[in-house]
Amino acid sequence: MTRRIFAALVVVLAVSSVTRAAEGKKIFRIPLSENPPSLDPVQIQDVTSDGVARKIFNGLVRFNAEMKPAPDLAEAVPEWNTADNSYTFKLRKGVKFHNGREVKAADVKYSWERLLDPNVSQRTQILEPVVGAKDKIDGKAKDVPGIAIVDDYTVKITLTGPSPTFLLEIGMVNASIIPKEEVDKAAGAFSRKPCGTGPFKLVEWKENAKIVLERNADYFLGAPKLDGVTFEVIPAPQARLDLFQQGEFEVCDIPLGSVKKMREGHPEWISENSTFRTNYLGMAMNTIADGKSIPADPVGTNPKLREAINLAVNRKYICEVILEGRGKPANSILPEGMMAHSNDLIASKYDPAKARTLLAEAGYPKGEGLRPLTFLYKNDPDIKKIVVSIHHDLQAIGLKVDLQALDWGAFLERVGKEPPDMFYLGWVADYNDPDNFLYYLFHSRQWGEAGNETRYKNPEVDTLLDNARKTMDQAKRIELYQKAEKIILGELPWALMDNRINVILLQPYVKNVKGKLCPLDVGHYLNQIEFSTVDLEK
Amino acid sequence: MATFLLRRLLQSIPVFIGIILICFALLKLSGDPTNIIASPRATAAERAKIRESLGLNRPWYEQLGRYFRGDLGDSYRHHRPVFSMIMEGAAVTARVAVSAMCIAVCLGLFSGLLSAYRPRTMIDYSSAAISSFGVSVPAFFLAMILTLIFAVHLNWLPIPRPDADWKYLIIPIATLGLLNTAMLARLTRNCMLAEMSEGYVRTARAKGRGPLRTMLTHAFPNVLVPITTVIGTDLAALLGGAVLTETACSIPGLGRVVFQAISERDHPVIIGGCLFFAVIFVTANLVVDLFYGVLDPRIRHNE
Repeated sequence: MTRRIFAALVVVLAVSSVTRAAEGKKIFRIPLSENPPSLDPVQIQDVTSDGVARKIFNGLVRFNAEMKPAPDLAEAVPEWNTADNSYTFKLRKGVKFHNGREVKAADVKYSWERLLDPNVSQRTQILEPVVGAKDKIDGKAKDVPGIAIVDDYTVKITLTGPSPTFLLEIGMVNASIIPKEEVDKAAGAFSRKPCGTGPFKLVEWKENAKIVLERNADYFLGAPKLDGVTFEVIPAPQARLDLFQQGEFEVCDIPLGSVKKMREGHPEWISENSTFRTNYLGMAMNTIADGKSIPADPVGTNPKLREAINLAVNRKYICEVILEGRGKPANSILPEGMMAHSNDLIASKYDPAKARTLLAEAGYPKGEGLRPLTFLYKNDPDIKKIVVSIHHDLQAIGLKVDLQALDWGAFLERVGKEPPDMFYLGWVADYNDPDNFLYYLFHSRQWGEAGNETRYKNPEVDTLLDNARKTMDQAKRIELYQKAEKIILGELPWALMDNRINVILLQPYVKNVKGKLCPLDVGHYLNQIEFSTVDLEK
Repeated sequence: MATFLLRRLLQSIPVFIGIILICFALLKLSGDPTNIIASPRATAAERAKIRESLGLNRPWYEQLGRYFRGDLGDSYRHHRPVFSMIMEGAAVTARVAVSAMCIAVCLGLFSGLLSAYRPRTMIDYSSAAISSFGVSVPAFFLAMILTLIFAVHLNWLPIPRPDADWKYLIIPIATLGLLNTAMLARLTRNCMLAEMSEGYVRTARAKGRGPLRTMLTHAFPNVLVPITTVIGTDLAALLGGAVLTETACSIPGLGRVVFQAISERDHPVIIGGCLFFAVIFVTANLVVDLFYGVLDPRIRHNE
């Protein structure tokens, strides 16, 4: 009897898997590590939601292969008008939302004023340079005069001054153009019923389980080659890999520990791209006492101690052994490929002997006389492996280190309020501009939770970074950033660790993805790929 | 009966109030959720705006009062009603939990009775060995091993994924079912052996009743009270969601919803989840208590 039941079960399973394959549609299947928190563009700030949303929405501009602004819903990337600090965008004609209505200039005004509305938006800073944006953010005005409708297909955006990163900022998914009537219809649930102009439209969203997108045959860049894209929430990394290996997904990430096996066993699946992600060991530079900032003792007050720490860490071991080749030692804050990146900088040498000498020169021979240094990290098994290796290296030169792990929220709070002696963190650029790294992480205006967690402060660097924000001359900006980076690296608020390399798995029959991933593609959601061109050739 | 029910319902009110108070106080102590919600580039002003929009800058009693009015609000991070998030998770979890419990009750009682019927035999020893394994092995580990053997290597079953189709639920249901089977089997065996040494059993046997019949009709009804209690609390625990099994098997259940909320400091979801657990446990205990009356006429609720 049991045997019969078992046989029946096997038949049922076999039949159902046959029907699945027999559908014969070209569906691109992507595993998600978590349910996207929101698909409302103005609320998106995580890679997962961004990965789904970019297949549904378009903005006025997007990033091209060189990560420069390229036309999307706009006919062309507008020229900067120095006379009145404005950009005039001409919209493509005949572009339709998923509900069938044509995109007009009023939609741009609506979408961007919504992005500036702090009651719904969490990314208001993107449009901050627009005239009238501040009043809108502060709730003092409803209308934003800097976003003006010239005619049905022309929008004029006036900024308060030159803003060299504006066109890049609006290339982020948050500035996507959405239809007002669908937001109204969704009655507060647009994050669950997104409607855009993208190559795919949402058909079904089963929370925590599955998101189904189907092709938008009217897509303005041409009908997508795929019939649809489905996302399935598979939280366990090993389960994602198992399913990929059974051919259930077209793309997948690789859990730490399996990269070598995959490289050797299935080189045809491997896809690699460098990323704009720099990981670092932050060191407390300044602290606040009695309302005044003073150098933090002992790390902030002692440059030789920071240099000793910097020289003590064996990054090659971390990159090659722990990360299994998914990182390379970082020599500059600005990752390779980013504007103003310089190949001349060598910020991460490994020289434990010199580190010991420097430690003695710093006044702590073999670490004697120095209190144990607090080293904080996010409680995550993969990060822990790296941190333990750094800990080992620091102990080897005589430093006493007190490792502390905190969950993400508590970590951010602690680092934002009062930096520990050392902490491990990473930064991923939103777009290809040094401002996104240097201003946010090293300008004294950004102290604490806003990004400058080490509380680094140098008036000269502040001036350089401010000036680079005020000019539209890119050559001049590169010069300013290179100067600022050199000064920062000379003072070592960070011991640079590694630039991450994104290694993912792609089925060999996937066309138009491999080789097209750019440094902004972190993870396996293929965020920057124009999905209408992706095809499956089984 | 009605008085009993009413009394029990009234007694549960302080439980719910206590849970809201404890959760709220602990969450307030655990820190500010804004850091996780805000973009890493958010300025202090922007963070203040977020705090304002979430109502975190209002006085604590106003924030707390909302929960007492039965308004769980929206999730901080997912921007949707907490109530629907919990109900969706609970529906999935309930399906797995009830199926697992059915397996556990059938197999557990059967194996326990069999062991008690033939104590200190091979049947008893092997059942005890399997039960010990079941009690000691962690759920997520069993789920991973079952997946590895039956789904990855043998390819008999599909790898679990978040699909409503039953075939994807076989491994998680088997995992939770087998673990609870082990506990129930041990409990049933021990209770039965204790009961079988009672005088009335000997009398029944002396009057000529067969050993099996004596066991099933005389002794077994008397062990149902402790067994029902365990089934009730075990089922309640399962309905609360099994975080690790749900993660290992990609089940979009309640355990994962609440666990994720904890790691994201999503206070309304955490409080909603805890309240839901409380409701489940209070209800399970109440149902078990009502069952006592049915199972044992000596326990009467109208007194």
